[in-house]
Amino acid sequence: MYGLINRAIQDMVCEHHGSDVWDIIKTKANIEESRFLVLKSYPDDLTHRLVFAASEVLGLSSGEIMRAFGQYWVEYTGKAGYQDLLEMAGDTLPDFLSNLDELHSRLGVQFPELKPPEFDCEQTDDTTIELHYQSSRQGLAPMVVGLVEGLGNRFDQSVEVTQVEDRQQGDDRDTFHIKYDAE
Amino acid sequence: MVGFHYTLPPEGLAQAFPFHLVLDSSLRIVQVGDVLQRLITTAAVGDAVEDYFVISRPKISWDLDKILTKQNSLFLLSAKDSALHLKGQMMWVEVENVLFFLGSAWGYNPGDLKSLGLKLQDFALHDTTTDFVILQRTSQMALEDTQALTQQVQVKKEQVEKLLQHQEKLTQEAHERAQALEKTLNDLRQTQLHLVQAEKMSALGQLVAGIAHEINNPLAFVSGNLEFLKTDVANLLRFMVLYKAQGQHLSSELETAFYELEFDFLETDLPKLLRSLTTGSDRITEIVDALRNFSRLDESPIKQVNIHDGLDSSLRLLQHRLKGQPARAPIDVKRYYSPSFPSIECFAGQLNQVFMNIIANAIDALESDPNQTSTITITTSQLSSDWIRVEIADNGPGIPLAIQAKIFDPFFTTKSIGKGTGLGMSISRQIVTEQHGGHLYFQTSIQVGTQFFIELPISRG
Repeated sequence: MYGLINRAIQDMVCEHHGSDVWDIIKTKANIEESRFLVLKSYPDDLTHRLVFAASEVLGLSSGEIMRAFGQYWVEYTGKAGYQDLLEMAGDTLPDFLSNLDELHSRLGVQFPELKPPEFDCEQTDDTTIELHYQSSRQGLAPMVVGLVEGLGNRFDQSVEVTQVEDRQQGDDRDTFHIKYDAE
Repeated sequence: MVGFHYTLPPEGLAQAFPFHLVLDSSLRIVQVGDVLQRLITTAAVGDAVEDYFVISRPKISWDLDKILTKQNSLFLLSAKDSALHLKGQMMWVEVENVLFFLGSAWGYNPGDLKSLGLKLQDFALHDTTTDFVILQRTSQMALEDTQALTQQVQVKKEQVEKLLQHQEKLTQEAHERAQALEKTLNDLRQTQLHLVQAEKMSALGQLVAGIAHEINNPLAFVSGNLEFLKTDVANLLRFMVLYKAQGQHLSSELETAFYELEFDFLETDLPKLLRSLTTGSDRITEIVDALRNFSRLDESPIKQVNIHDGLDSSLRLLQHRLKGQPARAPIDVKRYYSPSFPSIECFAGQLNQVFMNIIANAIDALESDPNQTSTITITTSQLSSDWIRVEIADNGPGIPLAIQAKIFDPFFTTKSIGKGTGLGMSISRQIVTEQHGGHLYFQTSIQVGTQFFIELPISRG
């Protein structure tokens, strides 16, 4: 994972729980870096250790943490300097979701070690979208739930996300049923 | 290469180049890409392109001939009424007599594009403009990382420098403390030595003063009675002479007694004996005076003193060493005392000790080279209204360079064990510099001699 992800996890913990808690998590995860570099590709294992340690320290499941992180990620990328880009990606939740795969494709071109996920967006009716998600990484589906919820916050639309296909349960892909308020 | 046979239909071209322009030979707009049309809504077919855009690069005006010569150049067009910039190339299509501008909107960051109302899907998929702005933002973040790391390094460097400075300061302090301790130790040793020496000198002074006092009384009997004795002996001799002159009336017994007495010899020798006794008595008186003067125990510690008296006393006490020895001739002492030399306020006993040390050392030096005529020259002078100087010089072998710097060090001596303590010059310097605020120094020249200079303030004020 690129350092931007790990730094976002750090900022999320510091913002919500304080830097002391982050230090405990970092020590527990056996991580010595004082600063994650945005463009450096860190081993996935490091991120997994962080999530696992945070789960133990904060008393939350890994899924809950990944979901919270998904929500935080939307806000964080905006603060990290990609705000204009996010705005160019769409003015509404359906617009944005339909551009999500395009956005990740473009990022994948520039970050060779990103291994970006694939998104396939299907508008089933005026207030429902089926979002199909495929990733070479395991266990990140809860983050997608948080991500869609974060986008709902971004566009000030309430969303309800239900995972209807789960790769962990033997399905071919993860699919999310997204119900949102029509504008 | 087989050649190109296929081309896009107009709709395909419009999709691939949503920002394109097609101009006729008079540079009027004949076609506009749909996204570009959205950005410059007023532009219509037949309008002159120069009403809407200026050519920023290359630096040419809207002139077809000039444009045709620059078909291999990158064209940057800037909208006259907005912040829109287009980047692309000009292509002349001979068959249709039209000029194509194929390009895309251009911005230096996503904000530039966003402010024009552009969305990601407004760009053709092959267009790298959005990739570029993403990359630019990412580069910016990397730069921020670099700056943060540089700052961290700088902070660490400053911390290390501070630590090093602190360490250096501690080292310096430790060094200074060690030096202070060493100085204190030296001072203590000096003080101890001084005390020991002062105690010795005090005891010696008391002894000398006691002896002088004890000798003084019987000496007074001797020297006082000697005068009477001289008179009595003279009277007796005169009587004896008169008596002897009456020779015919002397009994044979008296004649024999006169004969055995060797009266004639006695008559001439007795006055000589008495003169010799007087000389001895005077000499003892002088020595007792010198001892009293040297010890100065009968006086207050600080008083106005004639330095010449101190020098003379020291010389008298060293008289036995100045005299000729079996191995060498007597040492000649030359005194050049300043006639207007003032009395000075000082610890007379201590200064006498200094004179004694320096003169004794001069004698030692002269004895080490007995083959020459040995001279000690003592010169006194007034340097200014406040200062006097005593110079004690010898014409001995001089002090070798290697030991010159050690002359005033405690325990430094060139004499054999038991002959010298190595404290004389050290204590002398302490007496002159610390007790009297004066200067003690020397000049020496090999095979020429050594001069010691004692400079003292006249008043202790």
